[in-house]
Amino acid sequence: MADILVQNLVKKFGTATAVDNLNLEIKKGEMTALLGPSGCGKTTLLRMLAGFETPTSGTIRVNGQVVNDLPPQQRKIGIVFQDYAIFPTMTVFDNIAYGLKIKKLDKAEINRSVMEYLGLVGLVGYEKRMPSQLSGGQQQRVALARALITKPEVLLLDEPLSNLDAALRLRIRKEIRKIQQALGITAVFVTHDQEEALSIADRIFVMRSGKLMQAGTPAEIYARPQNDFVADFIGKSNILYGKVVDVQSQSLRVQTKGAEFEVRRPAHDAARLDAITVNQDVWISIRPHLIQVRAKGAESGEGTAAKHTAANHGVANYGEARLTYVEYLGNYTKGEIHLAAGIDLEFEHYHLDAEHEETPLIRGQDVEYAIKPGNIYLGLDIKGIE
Amino acid sequence: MPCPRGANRIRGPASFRSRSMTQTLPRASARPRRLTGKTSPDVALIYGIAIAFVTLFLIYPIVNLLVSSALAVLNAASKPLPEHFFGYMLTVTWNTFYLALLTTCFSLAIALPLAILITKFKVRSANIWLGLLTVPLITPAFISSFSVIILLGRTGVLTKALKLLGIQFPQIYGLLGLVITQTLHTIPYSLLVLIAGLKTVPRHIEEAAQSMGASIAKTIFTIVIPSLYPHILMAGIMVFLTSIGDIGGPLIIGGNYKVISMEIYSNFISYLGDERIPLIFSAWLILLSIILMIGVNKLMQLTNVKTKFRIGIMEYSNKKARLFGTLFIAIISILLLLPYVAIIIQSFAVRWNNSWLPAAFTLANYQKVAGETGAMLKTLILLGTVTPIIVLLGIIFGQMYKTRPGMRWLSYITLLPFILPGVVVGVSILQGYATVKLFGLSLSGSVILMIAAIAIRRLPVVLKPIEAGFAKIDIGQEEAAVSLGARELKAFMTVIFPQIRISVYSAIVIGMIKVVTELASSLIIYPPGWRNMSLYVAYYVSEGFISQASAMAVIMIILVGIGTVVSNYLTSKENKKYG
Repeated sequence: MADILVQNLVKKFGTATAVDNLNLEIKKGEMTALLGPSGCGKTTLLRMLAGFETPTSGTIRVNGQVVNDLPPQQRKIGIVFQDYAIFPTMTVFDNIAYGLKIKKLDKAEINRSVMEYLGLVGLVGYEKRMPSQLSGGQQQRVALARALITKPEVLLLDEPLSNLDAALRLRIRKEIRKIQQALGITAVFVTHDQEEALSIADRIFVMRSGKLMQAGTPAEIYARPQNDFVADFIGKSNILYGKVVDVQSQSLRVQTKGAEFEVRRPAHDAARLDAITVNQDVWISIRPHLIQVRAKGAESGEGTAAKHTAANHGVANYGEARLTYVEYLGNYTKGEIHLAAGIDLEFEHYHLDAEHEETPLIRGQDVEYAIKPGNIYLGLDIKGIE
Repeated sequence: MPCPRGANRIRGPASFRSRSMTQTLPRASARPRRLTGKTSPDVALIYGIAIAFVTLFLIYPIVNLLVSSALAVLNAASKPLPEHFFGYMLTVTWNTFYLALLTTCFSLAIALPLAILITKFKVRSANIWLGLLTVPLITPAFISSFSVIILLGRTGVLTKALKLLGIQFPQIYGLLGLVITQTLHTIPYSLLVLIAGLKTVPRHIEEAAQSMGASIAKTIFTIVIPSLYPHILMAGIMVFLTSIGDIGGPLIIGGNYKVISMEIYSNFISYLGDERIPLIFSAWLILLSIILMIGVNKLMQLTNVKTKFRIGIMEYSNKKARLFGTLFIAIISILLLLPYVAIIIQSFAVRWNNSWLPAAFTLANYQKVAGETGAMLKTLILLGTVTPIIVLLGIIFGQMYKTRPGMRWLSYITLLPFILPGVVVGVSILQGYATVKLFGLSLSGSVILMIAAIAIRRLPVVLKPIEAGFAKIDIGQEEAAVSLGARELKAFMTVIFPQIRISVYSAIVIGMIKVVTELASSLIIYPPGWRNMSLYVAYYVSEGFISQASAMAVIMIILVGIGTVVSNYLTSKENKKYG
């Protein structure tokens, strides 16, 4: 098992910069996700870790050793590709045994080992099959066994799930995670799917345009995005830009296009928000599920919306709106409300009370909404959203 | 017929992604959806004419030939075949296969490492060399046969050079000469098929092997080459069939080495020969070719490798391999092009015997050839008749195979001439219509049969790019047009044809090139007074007028070259138009 340290890493292809001065640390035994939209440099970074690309500058250290120019054959890595990269001319057995045959292990040892790893990925009985007789999920399991059998120090997974259908993707994802945890292997998982990254990783590196946007655990990245790009990319969010107009000890007010919002300053986030001043450019993020929406005048279960609507402190946190779009999704309804101030917000309304059937929300209807000041996240760093 | 991996993203006609000139077997479209609705009378009539043509000039002649030869063998008791006939047949068959096997082995043995070096090791200016190698691809084999004589014959310039080095080059006429010319002629072919194959080996499987510790050499031998088996087989069978069907080589350089195609020809034209011999030999060759093709297809199914994903190919930066590859392709290209240089020099030569350069230069050969306006006129007439026929047939069959899955079986028949030796096509048609009279005139003496034979022989060459064009179009488009009220013919002309226009252009040019250079069936079937250019070259060579033959060959190469340039221009222009 290994830890990987990437320092000032740059990779240029001609004039294009794929990886731009990247610094990150991948910890021993952890599952690390490299997350970002396509073209963000995550695959290039992975290929440099594997040794298929040479860095333009900067260093990659594995267990403290610089490996920049080490060819892939000597790196002790296992790699799983998006397209499985199963050797099409070999049986499942020969595919998995390939790395051991290169190492010239004796036959009995290879046999024993292959059977063990076939068991690990749940493919016992498939050893004589040709890849063309396997489904995508089975091929990906073969690829996983093949990558793991040589006991690599690092397992690299390059979008391993993106060619599988939705149901299978969830299953294989769980299997990969369980195997990784059981073996305690250091793994790097490249994906553009934020949900996948959140679900599988111990630590996520969010990248854009070759640069690191944020590093952290899934919870940190979701709850405390460092910039608007991360807030938008991880989970769903309503992002609004504006200026700070009033700073109080407990809360502050942000003036966005046409509406003012009250934002609470949580104690645990005090340090970050200490230096904030009036007139500063900021952005706020409101998660859709944190916006309460209900039919106007309806009997209130919690009473929040109605209560606050009555005394709205002159902020847009509470008020009336027009429902402009609705999707009923069973466990929740999602939709869009149009505020009088001219702002459109996406919301998700969870159906948490099965006992009292709720009045369904209908497009075009007038609603009341509420956003608690503590549920608005304030961000200072503006990177821009695609 | 299984599609070798990388034949095409779209299922259907396997077009290797190299230029269509170099494409290999034409194929039947895979499981097209039937166009809904009843076939209207106009469409039915068009299909009927096309099917009638193929029935008259391909199905009937071949069946007739098989039946006649079967009868000849069965009736051998009452009308005995020549003494030791089957022994002779066995010897000739062995000779044919031995030659084909040697040619295939040499061709692949040179082309495979070359293809790997070129695609995997970033060989310098590989594209320029590959461009030059299209010359042997587009010129007919018989031209390279006699050019080899110029170089390596008794008085050849290379023979002289080798003598200086103390090497006595053996007699060129016979097996040696055949292997040399056929190998030289087929290397570019194998090379392009294998390069196309290598471009389909996805980078990731090589990377996976290397991440597991495999060296570059190990990766190439355990991963790359096994993935290439279908293409190796494909190139191999094409070279093998080319060798078996070659008539120019045996005619010009074969000497006493007897091969089936040559025995068919010589027995056919000889008044002394037993008329049953060419029939039996032709039938035998048809059976062998078909069995061979089926066998290879079964093998290809076994080795068929499918990859769903298309990503780039892996390239290695190994300086030594790169240098070696650059030298290798340069040497092979020069070797392959040398014969053409020799032809050009020879065409201006007064006499070129045992000397480094001809004794004197002259334009007389060209003047002589220019005097043969007849040959050029005949070539033009054949071009003007055969090309429209085959292009129209190609479009009709292409559309039929796409929209009428029930007619798919026919595609195996229309591509049959591709694997049949041209001599056999000629013999079958002539045999089938030898006694038929039209308006009191014997058909065998008219040019109709020659036109039909060339058309049948070249139909697959034209059908293939057209089918490839059709394969790119979703039948849904036609269904949409029909649902909007267009009749099938109208839908085809307005919606489909504009999209296959590029393919049709390239089919026209390839068809023209192939019509001009057709020799094998013309040689059998041409009526008196219908010697076209390729027949003239063969005639000049057989009469020993090497310089005139060279001049005529140079003119042919130039014509064919112009055709290729025009085709490239049209294709690139159309490609730009449609992005």
